[in-house]
Order: sequence, then structure tokens, then C-alpha cells
Amino acid sequence: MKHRNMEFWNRMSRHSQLGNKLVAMAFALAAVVGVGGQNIVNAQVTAYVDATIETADKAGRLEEGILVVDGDTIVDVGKDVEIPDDARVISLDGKTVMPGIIDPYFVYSTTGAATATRTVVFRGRTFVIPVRPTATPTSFTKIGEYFYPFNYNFMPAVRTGITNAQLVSPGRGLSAFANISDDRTPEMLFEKDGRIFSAVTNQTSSLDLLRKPLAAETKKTTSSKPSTSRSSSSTDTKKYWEEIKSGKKRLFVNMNTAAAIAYVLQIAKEHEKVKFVLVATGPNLYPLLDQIKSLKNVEIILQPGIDTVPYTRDLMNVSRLLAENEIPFALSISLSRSQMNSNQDDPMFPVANLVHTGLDRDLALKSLTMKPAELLGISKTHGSLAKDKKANFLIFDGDPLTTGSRLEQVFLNGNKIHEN
Amino acid sequence: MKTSHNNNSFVRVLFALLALALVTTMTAAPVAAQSKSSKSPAKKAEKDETDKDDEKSDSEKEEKPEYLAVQGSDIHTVTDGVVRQGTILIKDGKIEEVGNNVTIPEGTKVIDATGKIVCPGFVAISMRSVGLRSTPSGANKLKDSLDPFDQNIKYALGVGITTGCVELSTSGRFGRFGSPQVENTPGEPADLFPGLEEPVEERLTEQMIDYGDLNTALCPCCGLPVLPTEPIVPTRPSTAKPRKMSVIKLAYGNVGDMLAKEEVFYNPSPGALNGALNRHNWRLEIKKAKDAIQAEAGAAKEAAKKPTSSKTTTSKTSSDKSKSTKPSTSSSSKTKKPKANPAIIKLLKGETKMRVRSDAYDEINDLSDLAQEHGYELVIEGGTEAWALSEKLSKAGVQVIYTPRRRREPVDGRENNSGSNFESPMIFENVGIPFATSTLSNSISMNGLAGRDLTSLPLEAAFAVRGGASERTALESLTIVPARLMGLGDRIGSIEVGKDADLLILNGEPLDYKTYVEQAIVAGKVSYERGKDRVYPVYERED
Repeated sequence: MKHRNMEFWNRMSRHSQLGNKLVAMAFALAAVVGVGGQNIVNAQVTAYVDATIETADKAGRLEEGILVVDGDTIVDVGKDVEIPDDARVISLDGKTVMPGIIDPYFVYSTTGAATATRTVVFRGRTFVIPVRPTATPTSFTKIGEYFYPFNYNFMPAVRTGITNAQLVSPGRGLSAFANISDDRTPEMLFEKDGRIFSAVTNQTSSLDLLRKPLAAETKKTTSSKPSTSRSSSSTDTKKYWEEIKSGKKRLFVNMNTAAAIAYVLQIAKEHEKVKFVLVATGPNLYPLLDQIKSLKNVEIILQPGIDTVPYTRDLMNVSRLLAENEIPFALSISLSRSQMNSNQDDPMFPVANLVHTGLDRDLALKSLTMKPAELLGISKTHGSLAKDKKANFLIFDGDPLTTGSRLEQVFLNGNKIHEN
Repeated sequence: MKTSHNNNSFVRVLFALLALALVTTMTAAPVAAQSKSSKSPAKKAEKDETDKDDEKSDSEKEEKPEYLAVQGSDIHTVTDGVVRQGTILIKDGKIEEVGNNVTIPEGTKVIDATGKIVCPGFVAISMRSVGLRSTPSGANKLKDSLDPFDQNIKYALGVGITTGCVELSTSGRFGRFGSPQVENTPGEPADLFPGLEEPVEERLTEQMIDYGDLNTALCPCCGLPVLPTEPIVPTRPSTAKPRKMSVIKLAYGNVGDMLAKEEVFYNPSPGALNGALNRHNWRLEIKKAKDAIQAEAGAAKEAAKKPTSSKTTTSKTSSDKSKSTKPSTSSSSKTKKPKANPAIIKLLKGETKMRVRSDAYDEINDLSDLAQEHGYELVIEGGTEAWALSEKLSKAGVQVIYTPRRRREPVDGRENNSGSNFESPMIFENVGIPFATSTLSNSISMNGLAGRDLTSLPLEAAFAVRGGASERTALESLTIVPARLMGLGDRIGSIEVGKDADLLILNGEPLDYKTYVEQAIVAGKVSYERGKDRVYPVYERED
């Protein structure tokens, strides 16, 4: 029995080698012929015409607008836009174009060490399974240095229409900004030094990870942080904390209980200059809306969806409540991994549902595009369809903010990277 | 220019909605609508459109003024009688004024409590798993581990508990009570001896009877009786490790208001002071602490000649002892200082009280003697047979944490001074022993038989009335007495000017089983509303 199994595996591996070769050949061919799609940089200027364009910018919604793209950049957007003579013109009659979704808090497992394996014996059989070493909660992970482009979560993100994301780990560290595609190359990262993020619970040890660096004196010398991190990286980290303390960059804090949010709000009250971005769920935010409202330095990231009021069976739309209380917020579709994975061609369904139950339509659109870009500090290049911005956009067969509209095409930096 | 027809219609709809919303909100919150005209126009439209069903945030906006008044109710102040149809004015969470002629400043939020009864919030002297999910361990502090959104807070507030004393360490016999998840862990005595999940004391007394009640101690680890045996090798003196207790206020949603006192009581395990050896160890500890106090006083004396004996308010014997030991210790203290337990120093200085669980006559007797010998304040928790020692305890100033419904069978032939006595509350009242009421189980339980857990606290006090105590004493046993036991008598436990505004608005007499808490105010903020929170039924009684 065992012997036969061995034989089987040997044969399979031989097959797979053959298969690999075939795939490689096919790719080479594709590259030559030019069917590779995403790898080709558009040499030509392309004009997308006849579409309804949701710019998520000052221009607002444009009926029968024109979007001109040169390479990876938007040359012009509008109704009366000159189309260059040599431009390729693509008609998107009846379609709606919106900016690519920017996910401000894409929880991405920490390491590239998913290649590590462990041999497990289960019911007499031996399995070799990939192991992800669990990062200790206090360890500071720099996502940019441990980027692993083969993460399987990028696949559903692409078909969800997420074109850019801030990659974070479940613990704390320094994030990185990525173009989400099937490229699987380290070049997916367009900003390796992102923002400091931290998951926080209501425990002294966890809260001190925020309190201490925020309370530390702003000195030029490297003395105030006697943590375990290496000297070079600790000075690095200090630099990032300085930027946060001066209010240049935002601090991202993820909390899983209402109590933890209450403690972080206390910290936010003490440090008025520091801009906090709280990542939390609707039911945990709900009892704290008033406290959040009273603080001007707090913004929210939550997942789109209808929640239940804690300890009741009443439904609520927390995004709408945030809007009513004038609390700035962005939506992160990836926060609900199951929701993102189950998205096939209607990724906007949960957001459309929020609009259907009272969330302002414009606000909903911006909370997926422009607001996250602002939170990440990349709103000059991303987040809306405007001149000189990156050509990241989605094409829907109807209004993306009504339930039932389907995502048809995803463009990243001018290239079509996904089509339904 | 560039807007299309569709876009125009969209804008028109928006304006129509805006106008409609403005009309509806004009009466409700015109100021709020004006002040919020910032940011993006889309946001503003969104705001106006949805403002009309924004009742919750509106009602909470009104709480922002620092003044709050409760008007028209009969106020049970506990320490100063009843004020009929009086008004309580609260400023910044503290009681500013109480009486019949209270001028209410402009902009005060007024709660109309006409026909209602107001009394101070109840104090649970033993509370578990309310306001914190898990007990903090290691470097984690209680200050950072509170959960102001724990639903148990609502259950507790629903019966009027606004403050509670929580035990932070979970070891020992006492930790098992009231926590069903721990009861049946494999290997626990409850597994080995079926039936042990019932309160252990009852079983133990029977076993003690079998062994002639030879002052049997309970094992501090497993809670089983330790049979008195002669030690073959005397064990090294060790400290009776007390359990840490803290006081938290049930300020729902306000972490900042929750921690009332980090450390209360010196709370050794029940067996720690039992038996000759333990008592010897305890005396050694006391001696060390007294020496430390003396050294401290000596150091102070060196600075200024005369002022002495202000800190050591202990009995004559201790001062005698100190005189004899002083020259030796003060000289040696610099070289090989015996480490005194700071908690015991606090205890001897009268800053905290000792709280011990004890039910048996002899045990209480010994503890009382020990307390008098060393001059610290003693609180007996349990005290089932304390009634038989009432005169003595009263003279010794011992106080009791009592559960009127707890029963215990008398020992054959010792009926005159053993077993529980239903009249205990009356006896305590008559001889002047202040007692606090505690419940049979100190957590909030959502399974099993109702009426035994923390939510039965007022009911438990009503049983003290049934046992002959006056209603006033019973109410005191829920408010001012536990507050004083915890050293918080100046902050909570009664309605007095300057105290924390922890109030209950009741729809009947405080101890009546028919009474519901209509609103609970903690630190000047409404933390519970019967109509809103739906923890207890919402209806009007017809009688």
C-alpha cells in the first residue's frame, strides 16, 4: 500500500514537472504574441467614451463622460475632452466607471516564511503542510521587508475591484502600500514605508505599546526606547513615531472590543495632535459614537455591512450613523475576509446595501476611494478619476451603488488586470 | 454647465430632501444643524436628511452640561433621614445640593422623579465578573483591563448596584464560588466528591463534627479540611498571602469613572490565621511590620524630637514591645533589615481593614482575639455564627459581611452558640455591629436557579428585615456600611453634599421585591434606564 502510494506520488511529481514546463512555454509564447495582458504597457493613448463616470472628485458624476489614459496615468476626464488623434477609442456605452477601490486596512499575514513546512503524521499518513510562524504580539513587523507576493488573498481582492491596499499584519508594525494584481512580483509594492499600525486590546501591556512611544520625549538622540528592537531599526521606528506625533502621518489602530476602543479614545484625547485611524467593527463602535464625535483627531475604518445593535436583535447601519454624527470614515471590504472571498462579480453589494438603507451615495463612493486615499496620504495620485492620477478604475454594467450591478473589468495603472 | 439632466434632477431631489429635513429638524435642534455646516456639501445634505431620526445622540447631547437635577422625589439620604419631595442638584458628577429649596441653574438637565423614591446606589461588597472580562495578571493592571460595555454592568445596575468590590486573584477556595465554568474542571474536588459543588461550608462543618470540630482549618489551595496533625518538621514561617481586592464603579460606557480604589482590604485566605503554627507566623509578620513602623517613627523622631505615637495607635502591649525591641532593631535595621509586608503595615496603621471569610464560632472568636491583640480592624465575611459572639464582637469593633439567607446546622449539644440564626441581623443591630449584606453567589449568573446571584442583592437585604432588623439598617447594609468598610465612606454610600452622585430612581420602596430601578445615575451620568436597556420588564404596575 505504502509502496504504491510512493509510486503514485513520484508519477504525479513527474507530471507536474512536465506541466510546469508547459505553462512556462505557454507564458513565453504569450509574451511574444502579446496576449499577456497585464504585462504590456500601453504605448498608445486610450480614450474610454460614452461611459457614466463616477469621478469621486470635484467633477462628480459625469454622464457620457470621456476618460483619456496615457500609459498608467489619466490624461483627462470630463465631458468636453479633446481626444488625441492617435488615441484608441473604446466605447463603454451603458457602463459606469468608478475609481479603483482602495482598501485602507488589508490584513495580510505577516511573513514570506509561508514556505516553511512542517511534517505532520495524521492517522498514519504523513502530510507536509506550510506553516506560518506566528508573530508574537509585541514584535514589530515591517511589511515592506517581508512582502510575500504569492499571498492567496490577493486573488479575491483583484476580482473585488481592490486596486490598491495598505498591507498590514494582524499584530503591529509598519505597513506597505501595494498595487493589487496577479503580478506576483515584489514590484506590487509602490510604497515600502507605509504607516505604523497596531492591534490593541484593553491590557496594560498592549496599551503601553501606544502610550509609551506617544509620551516619549521628542529627542534627537536614541535613548528613550529601550525595547528589544535593534538599534538601527529602533531609530527608524522612532522616526515614524515622530511623524505621527507631529501629525504628518496617521496612526492606524485596530481594536476588537468596545472596551479597547474606549481606552484608545482616552489616549487620543491626551494627544490631540496625533491623528488616529481606528479600525473596528460596527457593534463595537456603536456605543462610542458620542465619544468619537467629540474628538476631532479620530477617523474610522470599518467593514461595510448591516450590523445588529449589541445585545438586541435590532439591525443598524453604522456607516450611516457615523455619517450622521459627522465622523469621517473609510470602508474596508477586506476586513471581512469571508465577504471578500465570496464576492464574485458584485463586490459592491454590501456598500450598495448601505446606500439602500440610508447612507449618502456620494459618501459611500468616497469612503471606498478618496477617503482611504486621504487616510493613507496618497490622495494626490490615487483615489479618484482626475487629471494626472493613476489610471486605476473599475467598469460596472450599471450603477455600482445599486445592488445587482456587476463588475466587468478592473484596470490597474492603465492595464486591464481582470475581466468577468 | 457640464451637468446633465440626470445630474440636475439628482441635485433637485437633494434640495427637496434638504428642505424637508430642515423643516422637521428646525424645532428639534436648530443650533446643532447650524453649527455643523462644515466639511463637504454632500456630508451636510446627508446630515440634514438623517437628522430627524437621530434621537439617541440628541438625548445624549443634553447630558453634556455639567449640571443635572433630580426633582420631586422622596430622597432616602441614608445618613440624614428622608427628604420629602426634594431635589438633588448634581455638578460635575458630585452632589452639589440636597433639599426642598434648591435653585436650579440655567441649562440644567432636569429629571422629573415626582412620586419616585431616590436612594444612594447599592454597594456590592463581593462582586465577580462585572465590568471586567478577565482578571488582569502579571504586568497588566486593573486600570487598563476594565470593560465599560460589559452587559453584566446593566444587569447589576438594573437591581441598583453602582459600586462593587472585586477580587482580583482567582486562587484559593473562595475563587471557585459562583463561577460555574471552574466548578467542574477535571481533577477538582468537585469531581472527586460529587455534591461538593454546593457551598463547601455546609459539608465541611459535618466533617468537622465527625472529627469533633478540632478547630479544623481549610486548605487554602483546595478548600478541603486539613486535619489537625502534629507537624513533624516545623515549616518555615511564611506570609499569609492575601488576595487583592479593588473597588470599581459601574459607570457604563465611561472607563475614566470606573476605578474607585485600586486596593482595599487585607484579605488572607480563610485558613491562613488558623491553628497554632499559622498564628505564630502571623505574629512574626506583625512583629516585622511593627518594627518597620517603629523604625519609620524613629527616623521621624530624629528629625523632630517630640512628635511620636501619632502613627502607632496600637494598644499598650505593642508599645511596650516596641520599647524593648527598639534599640536592637533600629541599630540592626540598617544592616539586615527584616522585610516587612507593606500591606500589613497599612493594616496596622488602620489604613485598611482585614477581611477574612469565617463562619464558625471558634474561628471568629480567635480572629477577633488576634485582631484585638494587634490592634487592627477586622471584618468577618460570612459570620454565620457571629450572632453567638455579638457582645464580644461589638466591643472589639468587629464588623460583619453577612448573607441573611445562608444557613448552617447547629452542632449537637452546642445549639446555644452554633448554627445560623435567622435573627442575626436584629442581634447585630441591637448590639451595634455594622453589617454589610452580600449575596449567596457574587457573580451574575444566567443559568440555574434565580435569586441566589448578585442580582438578588436588595432581596437579600429584605431578608435582613425579615430577620428583625429595621429597614433603615437593611438599607445601610447595602450602602453606607460597605462603603465605610472599603474606606470609601466619604465618597459613596449616602446622599450628602460633596459625595459622588451615584443615585437610584426607584418606583417603590428600596427593598420591596416589586420595586424596579427606573434610572441609575453613576458619577452624575445616567448609566441605566429601565425603559431603554430592557434588562428588566418594562410595564406599569396597576396597583
